[in-house]
Amino acid sequence: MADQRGRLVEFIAKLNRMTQEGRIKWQLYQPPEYLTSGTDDIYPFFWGAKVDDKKLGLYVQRHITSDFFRINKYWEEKTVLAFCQDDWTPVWEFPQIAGINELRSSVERQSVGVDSFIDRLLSEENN
Amino acid sequence: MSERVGVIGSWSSILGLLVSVYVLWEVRQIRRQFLLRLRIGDLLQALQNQAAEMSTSLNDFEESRHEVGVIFAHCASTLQNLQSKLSGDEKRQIRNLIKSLRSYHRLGFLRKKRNLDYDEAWRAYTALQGIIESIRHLREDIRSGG
Repeated sequence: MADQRGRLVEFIAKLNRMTQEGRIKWQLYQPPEYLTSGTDDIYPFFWGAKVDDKKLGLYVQRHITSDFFRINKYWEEKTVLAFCQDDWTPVWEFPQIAGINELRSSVERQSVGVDSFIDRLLSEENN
Repeated sequence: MSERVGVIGSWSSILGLLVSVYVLWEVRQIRRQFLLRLRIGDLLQALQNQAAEMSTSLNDFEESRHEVGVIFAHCASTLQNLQSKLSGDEKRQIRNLIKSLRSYHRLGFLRKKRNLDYDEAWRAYTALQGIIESIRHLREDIRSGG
């Protein structure tokens, strides 16, 4: 594996770890206009977080694609991680790299508050 | 004259043996390449699933310590299968990770079982993601005829 990609893999694994440990707080935002205007693609989720002095955006992009013979069309979905400007406009997108889906899963858990909700409900049940 | 024929015969036998060894080696390589092309998609998917399970379990490591150990064992088994079909840098990376993953659950005569701690588990997860990335590239190379 090229060194640059190796560093990115490590970076994304570290983001995942920091997210799970609560050291990075992700919030759900409306996707910026830059993404949604002038395209048929759909952006159902856009999370943003501040890490040091940088803003990171993690978003889901759904787009229509077709098979080799262009007969059948279907929706495809990918998760994109990007460095963003102050208004959350993505400036630099990370390549599609191993670990992004796990990061998304951790961000979803955190933003919905799955763990705290389950803990609260279980503690209520025990009382 | 007959002595010269004998010498030529001996050298021909040696050459024939070398050619046979070469052909055997080539057949082995072709078999390995064929198996890799056939299985790389499934094995990559299995590794991605195991990485996802690992990430979920790491979220609650203390409660899921045993589960993480089980995922490591499954992962080592998938990597072992993949390793036999690879060569070069990927094979070396995989061998190192298998050794590390197995050290948490296998007791040997000379080696003690290592305790699985949180940092070590994250290191293994990151190494696995590195391997997944390499294998993804290898699959793309294969798809484009490499």
